[in-house]
Amino acid sequence: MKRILIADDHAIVRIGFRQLLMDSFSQLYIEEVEDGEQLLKSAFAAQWDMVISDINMPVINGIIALQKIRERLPDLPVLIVSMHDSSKYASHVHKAGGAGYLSKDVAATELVKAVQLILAGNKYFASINVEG
Amino acid sequence: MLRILIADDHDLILKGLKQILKEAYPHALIEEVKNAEGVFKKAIQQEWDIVISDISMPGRGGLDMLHDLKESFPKLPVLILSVHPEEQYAMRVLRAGAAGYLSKDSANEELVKAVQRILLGRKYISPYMAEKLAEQIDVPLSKPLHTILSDKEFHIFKLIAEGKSIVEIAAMLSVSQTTISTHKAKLLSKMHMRANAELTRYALENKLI
Repeated sequence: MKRILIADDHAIVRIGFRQLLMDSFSQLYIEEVEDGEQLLKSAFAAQWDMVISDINMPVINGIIALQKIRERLPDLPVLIVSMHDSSKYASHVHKAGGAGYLSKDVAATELVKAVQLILAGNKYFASINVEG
Repeated sequence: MLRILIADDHDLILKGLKQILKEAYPHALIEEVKNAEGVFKKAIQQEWDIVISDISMPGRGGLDMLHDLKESFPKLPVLILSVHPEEQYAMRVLRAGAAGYLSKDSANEELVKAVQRILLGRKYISPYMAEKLAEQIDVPLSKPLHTILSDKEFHIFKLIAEGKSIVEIAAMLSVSQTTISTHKAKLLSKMHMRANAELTRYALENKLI
């Protein structure tokens, strides 16, 4: 059973992610949070195999949350997803220790592939060339 | 059986939308398309009770699509979803014939509420947007938009709609180009419009030129 924590302030996106992952993986527990503060609270309150987080969220943004997670839980992989299709963000995420970066407009298959790779211990950065 | 067509170029949004709708309407037929052409194809193939569409899709945007769709299928209700703040687009979208406008950051309950209301043949705007409209519009909604323009603004509005340039209008009225530009910015804002083409369209539709 893999445990995934999803953080996004858009309900439609959270539900979309949950549905996509439920359709693609057989054994999955998913929890959803709506902002960066809740993300940190939940991330530290239980054991997770992976975090999927938006960047633009209320209270604490995804990049800051990523840094805080890295400080306390360096082994927990964090995939950052964003509406911005910009390699600028990708390199920020990479530098901050993120396990991957994806734009939300990629195809469902690519999202699933990124999650699969990251759960298997790899990194996923589609828009920049970095060593994993 | 309820038939719902959803259009968005983001797989994640499509998945999310479909799930929310499936929970609210377990027996509905829900089909997905990823662009404006897809909406047209499906609309021609069969009847739909409601179309829920993104406004910014690749190729022809949602607003263009909405105009054409309403022309070919005037009775088909269209709920527009958008990532843009409501105050920027809602009026434009409703004027183009949409049955409702919803920002993508709305909660799922609000989406279902909007769909319910539209299926009853009514229009939907969010409570937030309703409040904004009440604040912004200081004339009754039944009055045509151009009646809120001052006489000078209305004169300049007609000249722009006829295709006159700022330079030409300034020369005609013997004032500076800056003055004309200022009037133009103000009248565009009052009309909730951005481009000259919109002024022309409005002027033609309302038989002002």
